[in-house]
Amino acid sequence: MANEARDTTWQAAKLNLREFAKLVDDEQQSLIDAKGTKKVGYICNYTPVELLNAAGVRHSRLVKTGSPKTVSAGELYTQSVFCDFTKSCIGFFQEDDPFYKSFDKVYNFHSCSTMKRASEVIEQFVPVKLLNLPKLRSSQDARNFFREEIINFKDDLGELTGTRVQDEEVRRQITIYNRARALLKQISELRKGPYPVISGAEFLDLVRGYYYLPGEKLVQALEQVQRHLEGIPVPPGRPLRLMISGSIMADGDRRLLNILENELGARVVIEDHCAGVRPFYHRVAEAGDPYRALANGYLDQAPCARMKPLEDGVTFSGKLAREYSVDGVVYVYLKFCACYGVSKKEFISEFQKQDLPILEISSDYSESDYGQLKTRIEAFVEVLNERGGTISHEQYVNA
Amino acid sequence: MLRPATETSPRDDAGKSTGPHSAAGSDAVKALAELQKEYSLERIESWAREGRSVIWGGNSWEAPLILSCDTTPVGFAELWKEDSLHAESVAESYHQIPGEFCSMIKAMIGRLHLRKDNAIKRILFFGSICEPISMVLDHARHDGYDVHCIDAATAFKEGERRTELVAFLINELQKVALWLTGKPVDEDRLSEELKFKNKMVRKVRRILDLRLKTPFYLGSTATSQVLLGSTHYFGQRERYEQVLDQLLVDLEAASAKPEKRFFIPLVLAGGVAGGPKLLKIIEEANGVVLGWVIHSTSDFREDISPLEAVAHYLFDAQLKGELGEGAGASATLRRRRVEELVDKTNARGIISSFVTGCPYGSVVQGLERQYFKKKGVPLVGLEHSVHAQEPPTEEQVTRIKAFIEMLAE
Repeated sequence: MANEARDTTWQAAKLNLREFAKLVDDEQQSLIDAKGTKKVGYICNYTPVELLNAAGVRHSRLVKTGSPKTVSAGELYTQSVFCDFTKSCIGFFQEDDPFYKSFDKVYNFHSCSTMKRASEVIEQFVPVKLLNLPKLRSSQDARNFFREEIINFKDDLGELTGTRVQDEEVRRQITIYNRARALLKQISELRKGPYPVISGAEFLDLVRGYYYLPGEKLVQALEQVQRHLEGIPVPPGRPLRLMISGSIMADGDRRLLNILENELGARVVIEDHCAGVRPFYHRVAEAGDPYRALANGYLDQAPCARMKPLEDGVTFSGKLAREYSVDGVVYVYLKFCACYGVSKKEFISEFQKQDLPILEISSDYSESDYGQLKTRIEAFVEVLNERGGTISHEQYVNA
Repeated sequence: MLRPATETSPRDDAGKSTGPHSAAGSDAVKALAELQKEYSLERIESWAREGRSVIWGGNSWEAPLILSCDTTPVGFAELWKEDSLHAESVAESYHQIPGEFCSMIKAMIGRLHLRKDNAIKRILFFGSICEPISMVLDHARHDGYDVHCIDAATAFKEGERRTELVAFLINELQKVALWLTGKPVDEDRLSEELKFKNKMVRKVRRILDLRLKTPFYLGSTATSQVLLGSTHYFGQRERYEQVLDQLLVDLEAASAKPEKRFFIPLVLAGGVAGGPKLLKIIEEANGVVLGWVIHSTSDFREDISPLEAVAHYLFDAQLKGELGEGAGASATLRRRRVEELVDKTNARGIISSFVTGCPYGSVVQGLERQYFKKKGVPLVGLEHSVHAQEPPTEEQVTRIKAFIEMLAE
């Protein structure tokens, strides 16, 4: 009887997750179809989404994974030496993808130099505004400068829409997005228990909402998901718990998760990348100057490896591994991603200090290496299982 | 301007012209070669051992500031002039830099590691530089290097927020002075440095203009040394100035006689990090590089405060696509400078080169290829490594020779 009740709650929660995914998909179509409103794409997580909502534009992060054909379309401009994510961004424009084509303007806070170059190429298809993002995240001068860039961004949005962005509306959006970030963090933390009630793939589906849904709609949907997930009685047992760390795992880049979770039965309980939990570990101050608050809040977010000092990002990654009691780490970097490829030794050393087994994967969006990838992951999972990945959660945490 | 070939232009082993109008045997060219020879890493490190302040980096737009802090800036290029293959293997094995990244960053970090016990222990870099270089320098901290970053600031479009950018960068430049000397920038000293730099650059511009009339007098390799020297003066500013003056006298005299030999004028977009070998191949094929895109020959403004002048110089260079990725230069706007030089030099073609694996180089080449195709200006793409000790590849030789032959037809 108890099992039946649990199954029913579980099914309801899963149904709710599917509804959430549909909501996100519908929103994208709705953005394509929308008339009479400006549409804005942005590339990097250092873009304050609060301002996009406050400006009343339809908006979305350009975060999709391209097919090998899309990647190849991007290579018309970049040759092979860019990461496949960057090539996809360009490729979607080159292929006249209806979603990418619908944007009136693209904004990019200068994240990595590769994305800066990609933005210069994208300007051939759609107006682009590049903005400065300082690297020295703790410096007060950097914060002051970033605040000015954020105001510049706000003013540009005002010019785009023909309506000045109001400070009060910015403050309101800060509150909404703080709630959205907190909800996603709380939902992620439901995976800290022995049996994660939500898989890694499902969590990333929720994260998609952050990039495609307007703030209020997002909060409403996430609150519903949270209620459902919190109602699930946790089943016994402890699956193998893994962390994914490294480069962006873009929307649609689910190869690795499929192998880990669907084929090998492991659970990804935490994702330290910029389409995972990283953007949800900061809160923007709700009082005072909203632009100062946004500058501080966004520079305080769990940093991209591009930011200095690198140790901040490495330490954050190590902290997540401990918090989520993982049995091992899959460190994935996109080929040609300098931020995570060149610095991989730093991250790997941090996990080694914690005696965590690590599988390092250099990834791209091709489909030809699936078998090889699966063999490597399978071997890693087997080793972890033999190492005692299935001990009780309490035993693990105490150990 | 161009004449059919009546004679070929013989060259010596160093790739310098040795024809009737050649300066290969001149005192000026000998003095230039001597200066370059003396500017070795061993020599520079000996200055550091003697107690002079020497840093890695700071050898581009910011060089006058560094010099005004009584510090010698050493270009990262010195790191891969020797032992670069060994250094690259150190980077791949010890630092675990993935193989797909360019030989430049690997040779840089590998060599810094190999020379970690040497006397130059400070590194300066600019935050708008490419991520591979920015990231690789993090490894150097583990070898005890003191790494200072001038925070990223980029002028993306003309006229955009220049005042704020300048104010931010000036503050960052003050921090560099504090890092080097413990004191704020000495603006009088900086002014003097800017004036001297402008004086040298005026002479360099004149040399480049005279080469349009006497393209064989100073070989492409020697010309690239003149350009490189305009930043660091080979550590001997008076001698550098004397060499420029001597070259000017020789070139002015030589230019009185019109050049009759056949040659193909070219613009080089991008660097030749692997040393003179590619320039030598170009010359052997009767090509002469008359336009150099990566080096800036612009002046620092003297009508504003020197710190403002440095800041404006950088942001102007970014918008012109000058100084390359090291200065965060625009990929799309570099073509303006290329085009300007094509017009000025009557170049028949463009050689666009970059280090294999460099994302910046690859995209800028792609964009320029499209642009100049529409304009009807031939462009050949060239990739190379930074390993000066490696001979040119068959592909490089064939591409250059076939391109120049095609232009000659």
